[in-house]
Amino acid sequence: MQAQIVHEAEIHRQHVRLRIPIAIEIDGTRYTVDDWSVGGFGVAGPMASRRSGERFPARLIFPFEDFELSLRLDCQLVYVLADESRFGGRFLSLSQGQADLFRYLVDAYLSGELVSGGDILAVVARDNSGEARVRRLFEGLGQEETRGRRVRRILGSTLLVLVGLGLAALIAAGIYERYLVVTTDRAVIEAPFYRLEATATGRVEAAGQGLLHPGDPAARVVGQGGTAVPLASPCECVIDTWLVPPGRTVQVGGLVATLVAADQPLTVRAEVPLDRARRLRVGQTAEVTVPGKAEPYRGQIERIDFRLKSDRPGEPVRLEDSSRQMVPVVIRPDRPFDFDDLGYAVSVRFF
Amino acid sequence: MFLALYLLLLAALALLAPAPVWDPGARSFVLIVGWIAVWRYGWGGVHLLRSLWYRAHVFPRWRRRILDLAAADPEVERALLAPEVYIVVTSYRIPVPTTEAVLAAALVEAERYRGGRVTIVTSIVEMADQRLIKDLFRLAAPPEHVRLILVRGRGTGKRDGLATALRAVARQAPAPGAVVLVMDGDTVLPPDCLARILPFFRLMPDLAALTTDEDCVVPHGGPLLRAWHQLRFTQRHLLMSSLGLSRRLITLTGRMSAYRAEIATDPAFVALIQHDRLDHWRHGPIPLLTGEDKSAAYWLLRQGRATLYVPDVTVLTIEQPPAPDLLRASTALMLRWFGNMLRASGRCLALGPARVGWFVWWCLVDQRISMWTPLIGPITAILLAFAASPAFLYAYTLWVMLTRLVQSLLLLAVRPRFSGLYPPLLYFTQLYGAFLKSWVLFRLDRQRWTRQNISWAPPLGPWRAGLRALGSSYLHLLALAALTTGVAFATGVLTPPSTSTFAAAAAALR
Repeated sequence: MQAQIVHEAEIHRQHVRLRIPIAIEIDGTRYTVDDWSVGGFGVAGPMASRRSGERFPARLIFPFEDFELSLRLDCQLVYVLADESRFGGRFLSLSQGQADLFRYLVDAYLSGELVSGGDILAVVARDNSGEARVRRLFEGLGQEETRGRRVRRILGSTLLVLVGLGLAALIAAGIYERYLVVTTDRAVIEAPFYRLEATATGRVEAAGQGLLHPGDPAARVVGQGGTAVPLASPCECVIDTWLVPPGRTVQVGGLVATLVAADQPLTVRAEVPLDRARRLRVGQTAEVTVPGKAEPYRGQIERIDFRLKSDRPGEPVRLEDSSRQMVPVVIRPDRPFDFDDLGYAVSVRFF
Repeated sequence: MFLALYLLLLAALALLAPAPVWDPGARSFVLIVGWIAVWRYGWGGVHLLRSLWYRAHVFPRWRRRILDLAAADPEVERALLAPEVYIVVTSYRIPVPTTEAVLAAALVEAERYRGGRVTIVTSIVEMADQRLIKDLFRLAAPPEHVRLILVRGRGTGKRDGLATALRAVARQAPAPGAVVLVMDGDTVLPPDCLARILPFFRLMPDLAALTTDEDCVVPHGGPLLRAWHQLRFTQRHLLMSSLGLSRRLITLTGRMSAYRAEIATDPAFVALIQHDRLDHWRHGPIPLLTGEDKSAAYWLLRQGRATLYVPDVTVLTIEQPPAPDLLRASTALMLRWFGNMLRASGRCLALGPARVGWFVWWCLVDQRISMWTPLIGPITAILLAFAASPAFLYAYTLWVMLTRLVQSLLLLAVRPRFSGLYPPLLYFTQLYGAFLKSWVLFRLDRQRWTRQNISWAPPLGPWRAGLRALGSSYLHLLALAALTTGVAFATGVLTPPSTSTFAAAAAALR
């Protein structure tokens, strides 16, 4: 709401009738004015030269101690009493400067002040209209808007609305990512693997390379008598790791090597905290990021093992720690991993 | 007593803190709050060091030079003063005792001045002020070299009043080398103020304007309001001393500043003081009601003129808070101060570092940044308290209490005065002030004369005014949301979405 209160004392005094002895000169005759205001004057005495309603120039005289101040004004005679004991008139077309000075002098009279030498009075143009000054001061501002400014404002506002929408989307995505998407970096690419056990005691020798078919010798154990005992591959496999390197001796029943099945796709085994794993379902989509690969792999959850494990074998599971337990989740990719990626640590996101 | 209470509370909180408060596991919390602290306190430290250097080394050298010159020859001492001085006092509905004190001090200064004629120009509105000032002048019966000019304005604000008074000064045709002091009607000049500040205009030919230190009395305020005002003035002294080293001030305080007369009466300068406005892309042209000191500083910065801070002259201001309680008074005052600052700083920034000077320019940039940084700490603590543990709020409270205590104690290097209320008031000013700054930033069209208690809003129809207010609120909310989101991502309360999330969302939409 616009301020409407104006603390301009002169406004309220505008038509106060003043009984301060000033004089008015009409047609060369000087009359003592005993009743006047900013609007007009009254004189006790006869008026012979003018009639009621007549307009004429006059000189209003303010007598000071050492000098007089006069204002030239246009007046209109309003009334002349029938017995010619009194007449009155009003001031016409006061200029702004005259009105300002008039009011100042009225104030000076009222306050008992007289302008005397030594003081400098800079009377500024006072605007004594009754409007709220604040509105007057900024009248017109903000009302008109050029076309260019309007275009700029609309474009800027549109842009900021878009920024707002973008931010809302970002917040929503951030909440979704943080609270609805399960991620883990504890994941590895692996494949079904087999152990190759020694059936005799002796020196280990490599027997096959590359892809081994079931029954193909994967290794040999050469006994002290020079007898070679072949160790057959149990699957279509490749040798993953030599646990006893060729040339070394192995005891009967000892593990010689691990074999990785080549006829089954590589999978990812991820570990997820139990509280988060509860949100996962078999068949749910997962995304696997392999280090060094630009494109992530998509896949589905094949298996979730919710069985709790005890910290120590033989002891019962401690349920109070269950939420901290890691649950293994197996993911089968939609497209096969490179065999070289076997054993890679990967990141997994579940949608 | 307040300090003892504060220390007891801090000690109690530290001793009774639950174990998780000391758990350094919250890496993001420590990183964010620590990083902000290093940055902000580092910058504060730069200001403190510059301030100390200026007050202990640079300025005293200038002061010694003046004293040496003056001591050498009485003629030189007189020649160091301005040949003519105008003391422009703008006053509007100031309590009578304040006006009496202000005018009495100005008259004493004028009487004691030996450099030449002193003219006191009072820019007033009310007839009552006119009578009072004339009476005081007559009672003082000053010598002939002291004159009084009464300028009565329309009461349309300080800018109009000041401009009218400056034009009245211009009509007196000031002598070359004359100086115009511009001061508020609640500012009391200290003894020898003129003799101590005016020689700088002779000593430094490039000097365009200067301002001094300020201190305050709050006659009608409680201890909280008094301490708050004193704290603000101490901080001002620190900042102005630091800027003084660059000889470019970003504000020429309206409470009391002195200008070369040729600047104060320059029509372009006066026009800017009276009709300064801001062209805002959303609000359109905004007339600047208050902040004429910022307009003056901008005019001088644009001209590349040197300005000076005089730290060993302290004017006294008689504060009349706009409300009796701290919250309402500080809200009204900070809204006005920060509004003026934000309305003016953009164009000063646009002048560029080459014109303004790198340090001052960065201070202007920092004004824009510092309205957000105090909010980061509490936002971080609140987010982590909700997402992780309430212990973060406890830890943050301890951190705030400790750091603000240290900050307040460092202010002793600025002014040898301390209150136990300073630490909480410091944090209040930083946090609440930052919020108010951000509020004002998006509502630059809202202005208020504190003394008159008149506010101004653009003359728009109800529909457009409502839409504009809605836009302001939207932008404010957007900015706060952006800050909170950034903090949430940095603390891990939210996780930055991956491209696959967006891809999945896009797929779901399809």
